[in-house]
Amino acid sequence: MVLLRKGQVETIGLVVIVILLIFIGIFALSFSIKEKEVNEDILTLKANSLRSSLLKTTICNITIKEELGNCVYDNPQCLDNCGSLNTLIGNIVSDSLEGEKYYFEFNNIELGSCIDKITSVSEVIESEKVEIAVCRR
Amino acid sequence: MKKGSVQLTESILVMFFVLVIIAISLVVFYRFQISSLHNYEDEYRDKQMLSMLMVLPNELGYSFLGKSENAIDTSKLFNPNLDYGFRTIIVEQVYPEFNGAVDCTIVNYPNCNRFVIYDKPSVSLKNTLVESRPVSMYYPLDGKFRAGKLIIKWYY
Repeated sequence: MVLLRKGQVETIGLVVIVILLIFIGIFALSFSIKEKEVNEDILTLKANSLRSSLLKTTICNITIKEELGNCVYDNPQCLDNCGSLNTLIGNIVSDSLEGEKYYFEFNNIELGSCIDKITSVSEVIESEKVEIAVCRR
Repeated sequence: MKKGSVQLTESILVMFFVLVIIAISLVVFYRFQISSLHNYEDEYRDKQMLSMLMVLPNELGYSFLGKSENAIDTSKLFNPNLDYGFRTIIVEQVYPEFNGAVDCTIVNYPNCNRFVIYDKPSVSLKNTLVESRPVSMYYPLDGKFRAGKLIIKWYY
């Protein structure tokens, strides 16, 4: 068995102390700079309620859901053209949210964009699926 | 210095460093405990907020022949008899757009766009958590649905 000299023992002790201090520092830092997670439940609620309220909203005497159905056949009854409906939907969706980004897709309409999103329960209008999502980021 | 006195100084230094490490560990542990308590408190508040956002539209909801229509009946928003502690609850119309916020009263209804259905702010509580969700607003006078949002301000 190799016997360590007194100087070597003290050096090992010093190294152990430094390693301990580094571990404590890393542990403390990990808690102080932890990012707050996005509340997914609230985003899911927002996505679903946004779909429900948007499609139910009355424009002229019909709902947006019915006008979207008309736009599948390029036959809008309430607005001049389907482009105006896209603008209207974009405005309602952005005003309904508190600065969160969104994504809307129906037929060949695509509004907004997301890197990572929470999608609402889908709804089908005239065989076309409506997708509304709120972005995580 | 004599050998004994050198060893004594060395022991004192070692003790000092050990005490410093213990003190740092205690501070870190204390901060960790406080941080977990705050996280738990935030989580609990978020859950309660979510629960309120989910439940409130049903309490003020519009139903037709017993079937819920997933919309807030705006005629029920005047003095709804709620007690939610230090909070402010607002239902705001988003579409059709209005010029500025016009608070709804029995007199100007439905030519308004903001219902303050509960308002109990606190002077002593400095923090406010604000959360909202989109809602559909039903106007029974013309039978139309308007887009809106339910805003809850939570003072803590």
